[in-house]
Amino acid sequence: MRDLKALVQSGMFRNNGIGRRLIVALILFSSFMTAIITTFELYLDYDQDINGIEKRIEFIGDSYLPTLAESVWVADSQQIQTQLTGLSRLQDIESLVISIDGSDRWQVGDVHSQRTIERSLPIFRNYRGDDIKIGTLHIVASVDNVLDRLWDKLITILISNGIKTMLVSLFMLLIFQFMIGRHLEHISHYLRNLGRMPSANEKLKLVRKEDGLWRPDALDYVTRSINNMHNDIAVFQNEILQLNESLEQRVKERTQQLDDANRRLAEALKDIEEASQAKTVFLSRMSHELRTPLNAICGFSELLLNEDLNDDQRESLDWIVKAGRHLLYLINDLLDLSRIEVGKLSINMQPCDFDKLVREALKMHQSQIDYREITVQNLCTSSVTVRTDATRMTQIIVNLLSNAIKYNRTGGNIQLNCEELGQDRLRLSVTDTGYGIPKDKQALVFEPFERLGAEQSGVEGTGTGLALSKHLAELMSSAIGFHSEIGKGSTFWVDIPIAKQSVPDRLPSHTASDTHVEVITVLYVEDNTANLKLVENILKHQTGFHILTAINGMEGLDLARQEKPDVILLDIHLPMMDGYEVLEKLKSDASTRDIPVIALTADAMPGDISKGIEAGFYQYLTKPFEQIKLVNTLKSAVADTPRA
Amino acid sequence: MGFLQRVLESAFDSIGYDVEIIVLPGERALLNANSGLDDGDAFRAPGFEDAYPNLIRVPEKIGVMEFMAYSSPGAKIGRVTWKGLRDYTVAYANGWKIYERNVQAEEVTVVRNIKYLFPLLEQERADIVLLDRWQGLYMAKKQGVKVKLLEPPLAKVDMYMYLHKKHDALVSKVVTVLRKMKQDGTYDEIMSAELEQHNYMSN
Repeated sequence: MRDLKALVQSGMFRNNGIGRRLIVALILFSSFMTAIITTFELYLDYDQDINGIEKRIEFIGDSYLPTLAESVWVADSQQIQTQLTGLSRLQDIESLVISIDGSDRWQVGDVHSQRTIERSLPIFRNYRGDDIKIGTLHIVASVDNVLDRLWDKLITILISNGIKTMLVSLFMLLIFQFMIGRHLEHISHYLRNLGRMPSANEKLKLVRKEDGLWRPDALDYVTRSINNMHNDIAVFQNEILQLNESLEQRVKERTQQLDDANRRLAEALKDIEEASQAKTVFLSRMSHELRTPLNAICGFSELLLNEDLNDDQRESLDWIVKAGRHLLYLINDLLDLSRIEVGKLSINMQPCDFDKLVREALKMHQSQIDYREITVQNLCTSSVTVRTDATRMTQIIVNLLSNAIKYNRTGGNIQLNCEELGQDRLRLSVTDTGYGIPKDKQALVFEPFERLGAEQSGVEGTGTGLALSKHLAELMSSAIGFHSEIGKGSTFWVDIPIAKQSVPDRLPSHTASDTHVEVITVLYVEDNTANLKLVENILKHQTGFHILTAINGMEGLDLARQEKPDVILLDIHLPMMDGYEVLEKLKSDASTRDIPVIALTADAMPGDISKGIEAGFYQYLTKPFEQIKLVNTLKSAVADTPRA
Repeated sequence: MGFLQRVLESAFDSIGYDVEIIVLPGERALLNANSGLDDGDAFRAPGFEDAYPNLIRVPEKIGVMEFMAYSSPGAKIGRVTWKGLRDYTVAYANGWKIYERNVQAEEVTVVRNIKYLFPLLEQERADIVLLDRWQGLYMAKKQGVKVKLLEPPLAKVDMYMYLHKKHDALVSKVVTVLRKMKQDGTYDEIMSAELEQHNYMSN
């Protein structure tokens, strides 16, 4: 019983264990076989019983009919009744009737059964030499009785087989559990815990008597295989551990090598950055050094144009101014290109009104447009806010316009078109009526210093404009492109991202014309005498300006405190005290705090400009400057400053 | 039987037929005649017509059946009636309807054949044996058994001949012959001769 309890509680019986499936299979199979065999047996019994009835009837015919014939011959009713009663005691015989000439004469027993076997035997007797039929014996045998017996037998078979099946199943299960089941359980338990075992030392061992007649069987082979496998796994694990260790070591080594390489790379990068920095600083210095004399050249030349000159002189002076400007653009573009290449060009993306940018760019080219008698049709009049660096975008538009003017025919047309591409981009197209760009040259349009044969045409240019524009556009998440047709002209376009927000509100800026007609006192602090002289001359030719000058910061500060000028022009590179220091002192003094200060310097790097605006300069003008721009800036600075 | 045979032989001879008389158990004779196996039943009390519809009665009495009681010669039994049988052990043969209906004796033995009757008397297994006059006398003579005839008969029944219906044309002829035999004394002559023989035998 203990075994039975343990068996039922074992995993073999839980859920869909082997034990449960075995017992179900046994019962099903046994029931199936019992059903088939029982059916067969019952069929045989039925057949035998029916045959028995037939034989009994045959027996009556052979053995009893002659004596019965005698009784019928003498019509001995008593004898006949006795004989029929005797026959009716035979198994399954239910009724016996003797009829004579179709009518029943003697009868024993009644027919109760629904299913019967009926036979009629003729009764013969020899009379005067012939066998004559003197009557008929009708025999009715009950098949119901046969079926009842079969039914009883079926019940008996079912009960006995049920008990037998149960006992055999139970016995087989016990044997199975003893011989196989418990070992399977053991193996299963062992395999489940295999992963948790520390080593291959814990061997799988089956609990079984190995004496006398015992010989190894399949279970022993399985056990042996599992142990071998466990052993192999342990060996492999060990190998993997070792491999892991060596791998870690190798990774460590490689990491070390990589670190070394990285360090060397970082050092190299640092060297490169330093070199680049040096280059940038050099460029900046060169730029400053070149701009300062150039400022003087251009400035004085422009001033001279206001004097009374003869035509030859005026033409010469024009050439000087043009050459100076050309040189200035060249320096600026070269500087920008080199800065882009070393990634030093910083872009300040802000929402701005696009139509305003276009108008400013057009204004800058007005004189050339007039000179070439070109008709400009500006269709970019609706206000769209784009997200871009205003200065650099203006530079691109100026470049496109400049090309459209330069490469147009005299008296030609320029059309500026603005078109929104979807919701987030705006396309500006500049279409000219020039000669167009030949197909074979189109691939070179954005290459620096490529002028596509314009050298021969006498058109001025540096060949840097479009290359620079393309770089700038890319930096500002914009795209630039063109299409051109020989004889008809070219269209250059630039796609600019549309800003999500509008331009932040600013104080309404006053135009120069709004300013009052009072005389504006300007203090100019500059150590370079040429520049001093230039600005003095420029303002002398303008009405409403009074200029004060100082050649260093200290002097400038004193003058500012004494004279309280309306506006101060301040150079950055000053001896002893630089422009930023002077600005700080001005801003910290209550008497000079409200005076707008404009930086006027050859430090033209964008970093310099934003740094200046942040420090508190009203504007940051770079040399060389255009006279009109200087004058306008001075006027608007005074106009924007509230008066005490 | 000699009487019946002689009457019938004489009667059928005069209308041109041979007669063969076969002795059969009572009911078998009816069954065979009714089925046409035999041509008729020679000597039968009336009243069976319904059960045997193929038989036609010849309506002229052949003779009288006297149902007698016999005892051992030494038995002190006087005149008996149906009721008087009650005090005795009685034997008769199977199939005799008249006995089956009327005998209400203390103890009754029914034998399968009349030949078993008189031995019962001899062995004192029965006090009275019931049988008709003619057969009783014939069997006693044949078996050499001494018996006493208890007069008068328990019952007397007129007996007729029955023919199968296939012979209905003969019925009127036989009637005519029988009447003629009774008128011209032939019938009585045969009767006297037979009685004389039996009386002698029974003594």
